Amino acid sequence: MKLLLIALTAFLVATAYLHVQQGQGTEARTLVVAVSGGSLGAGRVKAFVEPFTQATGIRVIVLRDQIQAPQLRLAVDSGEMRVDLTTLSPAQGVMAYHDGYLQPIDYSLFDAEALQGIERSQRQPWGVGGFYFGLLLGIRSTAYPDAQTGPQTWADFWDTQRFPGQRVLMSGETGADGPWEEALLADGVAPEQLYPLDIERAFRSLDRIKPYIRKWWAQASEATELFSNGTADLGMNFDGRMHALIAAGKPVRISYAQIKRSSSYWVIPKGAPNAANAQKFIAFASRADRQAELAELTGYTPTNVNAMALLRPEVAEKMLSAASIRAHSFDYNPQWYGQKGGDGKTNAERLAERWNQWILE
Amino acid sequence: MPARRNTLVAALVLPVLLFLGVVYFYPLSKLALLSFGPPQFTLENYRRFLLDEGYLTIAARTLVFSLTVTGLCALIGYTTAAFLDKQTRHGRGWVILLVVVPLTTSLLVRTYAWIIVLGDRGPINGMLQLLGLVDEPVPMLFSSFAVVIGMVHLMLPMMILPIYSAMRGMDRELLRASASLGAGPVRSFLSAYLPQTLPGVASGCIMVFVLSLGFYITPAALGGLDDVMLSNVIAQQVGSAMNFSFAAAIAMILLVSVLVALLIGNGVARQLRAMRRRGGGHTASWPSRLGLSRLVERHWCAWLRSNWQRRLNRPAARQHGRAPLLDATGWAVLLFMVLPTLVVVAISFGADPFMSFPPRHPTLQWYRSFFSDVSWLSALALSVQLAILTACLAVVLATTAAYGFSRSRFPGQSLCRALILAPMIVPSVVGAIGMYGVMSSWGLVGSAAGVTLANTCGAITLAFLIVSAGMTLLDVRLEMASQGMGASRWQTFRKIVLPPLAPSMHAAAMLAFIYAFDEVVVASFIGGLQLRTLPLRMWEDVRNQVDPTIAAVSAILLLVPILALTLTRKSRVLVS
Repeated sequence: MKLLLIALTAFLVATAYLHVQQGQGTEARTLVVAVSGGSLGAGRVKAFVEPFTQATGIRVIVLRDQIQAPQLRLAVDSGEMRVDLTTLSPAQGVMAYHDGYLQPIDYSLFDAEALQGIERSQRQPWGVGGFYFGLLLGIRSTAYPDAQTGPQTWADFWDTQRFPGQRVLMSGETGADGPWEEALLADGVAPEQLYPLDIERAFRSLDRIKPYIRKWWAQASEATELFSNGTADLGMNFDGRMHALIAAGKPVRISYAQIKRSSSYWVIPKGAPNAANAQKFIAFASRADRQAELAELTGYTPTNVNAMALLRPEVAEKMLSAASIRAHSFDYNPQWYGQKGGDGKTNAERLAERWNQWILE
Repeated sequence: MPARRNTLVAALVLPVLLFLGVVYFYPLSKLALLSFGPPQFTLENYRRFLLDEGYLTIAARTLVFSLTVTGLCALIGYTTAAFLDKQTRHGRGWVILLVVVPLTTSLLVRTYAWIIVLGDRGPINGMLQLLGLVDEPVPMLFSSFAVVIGMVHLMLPMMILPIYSAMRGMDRELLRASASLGAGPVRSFLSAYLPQTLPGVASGCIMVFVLSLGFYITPAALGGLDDVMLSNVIAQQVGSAMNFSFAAAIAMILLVSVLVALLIGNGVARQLRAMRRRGGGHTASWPSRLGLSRLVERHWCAWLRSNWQRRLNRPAARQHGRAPLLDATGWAVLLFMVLPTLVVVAISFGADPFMSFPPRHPTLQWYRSFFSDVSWLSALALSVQLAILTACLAVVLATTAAYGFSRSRFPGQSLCRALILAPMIVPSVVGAIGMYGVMSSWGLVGSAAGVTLANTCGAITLAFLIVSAGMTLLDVRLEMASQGMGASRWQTFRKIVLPPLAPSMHAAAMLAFIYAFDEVVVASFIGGLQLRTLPLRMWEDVRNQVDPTIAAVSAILLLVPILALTLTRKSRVLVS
């Protein structure tokens, strides 16, 4: 009986709570933005959301989450899209736009400064690059203490004789993201001649490194855990994660030799109820001062080059746009991944299918 | 039983069938249609799968993994159940708690705990090196071995509980008889002990096998490159290729395979039962019904019945023979069960912003960051609220149905029972995509009501199995007597049926609560883009980095089963 009473009370409290929540939900909402979780979400709230509301009076409802592409498509298909603005990876963005799930970006709302500052490649019809991230070679400094004599390029990573050690690489299961460019670089392809990717050549190169890879990770958290707990001596990881590891005092360092630079795109889904405000928000978040604040808060590189001048020197020097780093990085090409062949399959799908066969070989 | 009464009681199964029909089967059938590629009928999706050597290899691998895990669980589970069975009445509750607790630690957190435990610089390798057994760390992680360890850990409770129930319900006189007739311990075990527990093993095996087929997070995180299972392929088709119809086709193939496996399992179980009946027939024979539910019921029932009888007439003290080997194995398995949980709790008190073990510099900062973040707290509140609503709904529907099934006969009864089990068989991502379309046309996507309804489907399956088992405890003659003496049907239900059923209903409510609380796939779809439950919040947070806040969350969540079990035990005492 006692349990019944407890359960009943809990139920009543819960139901009351539910009503309160629904009550909040029906207030006039003016813009719903999915900002991602963790430190990125917190940074975006401070750098974009709060000043945006202050400047425009538009109330922003923040979702500290990332909307996955399948959820976005289902929501658009069923007319359930309640989120006005979210982010997608470039390849997912290209594909979603081709399939009619995204609204075109209105660049007429951008400041002259932002239009000039945001790099051309980041101003797509379907989305705007919000920040850059890099996929790079991380090194455990206890395994290779000397940065000069230690491994630096992907060719070094592939050279298991000269540089023994536990290796990790990104899994290619999604097709759109994988160690494809790295495999080709290791095989001697020049960075500017990577695209269109030679898929068979990439897999032949991967064949050579396959027996030496301890883990093909799928999530950034896995890669980070592998470096954090000392499993990985060499491997692919994101720049932001490596900087976080270094900040926490883990014995790791970054090779700046061949960084694959990509970005996270702001996109407006079809059927977003407050698309006009979402357009304003994107224009606002593309300003140099806003991007500089995000970079200061999170360590992510601005897509607006004008932001670089506003950063503290110790932050600026770690940015992927810093001249010394930029000179050695190459850009991921989302257009190629989203391109469809004669059979209606995108290059990303082709890679994913080939990957599924390859892992069983 | 009068025919009219039969019809009336049989009608009690309607609510649950109606509920599942509308909320689950209607959406599922729409999705199944999608796999045949409308507008034009095509078998392309099926052909693509069935003619591809790669997919077939993955299917075979899935089968091998599931069988391995089932076999290992049976072996380990049987030993552990025997160990549990010989605990004293007082100690048993806590020992069972050790088996149940890991069930409730989020799958995600447990997987990361295994990465730490099995790691090259993890505690196991550290111990081996300390003892001088190895010089170099043994590479355990990212192999089929690690996947099997992770899966066995997740599945063991599902095996231990039914076997243990069978052991509790076993007729111990037979053991004494066999001993007095001169059988040695081995002979006694083989001819009197083992046959009585085999149906428990069979039901555990079926459950573990079915659930193992659907694994994908564990193989992806703990496995090597080629440790891929069918559900990984399904997730990939949904998550990156956006090919829902191909995913649906694979899911349908998986569903059919599971049904076939169940039928085979059923056949085997039927054989075993027949053997058993020929051998002695000492347990009350059961009306013939569908296999899995019957098997599970049988053991829950046996266990509950024995509990019930014990309370009625305190039987003689059981033998607590000394068996050092069994004890050692039992404690080792329990240690294995709680190991990841212990590691998670330890990490939650360490200052390192990356989950690392052993923790250094004790701190409460992760607990502070949980309690000071409104989004964590509101996610927790939302999850508790949804889980309570789900558990209430599931238990009411399941109890009604269980009563209807056990007190009436009607054609197609076994089919109806099978239908109630379906939500446990179909991979949840497939059910979720199916339900999304229908729920959105009803305006329920993104609402608490939508998530509750969707989660209730799976919760009903669990609750139904448990309550049906409890149902068999009831003596139908008491109900007749009560009505014969003028009590109304409602009074009879309240005074005669409900009290002995209460423990099963509590247990059902608890499992339904835990299920709904940890559920993440259905919630990520039906929750729309706004309703964020606690597990979803955890998943979002670990996308980039596993920070010990989620370890702290898991440690806090540990209190849920402990409180629930304590309350359940208390209320059981109160009821009896």
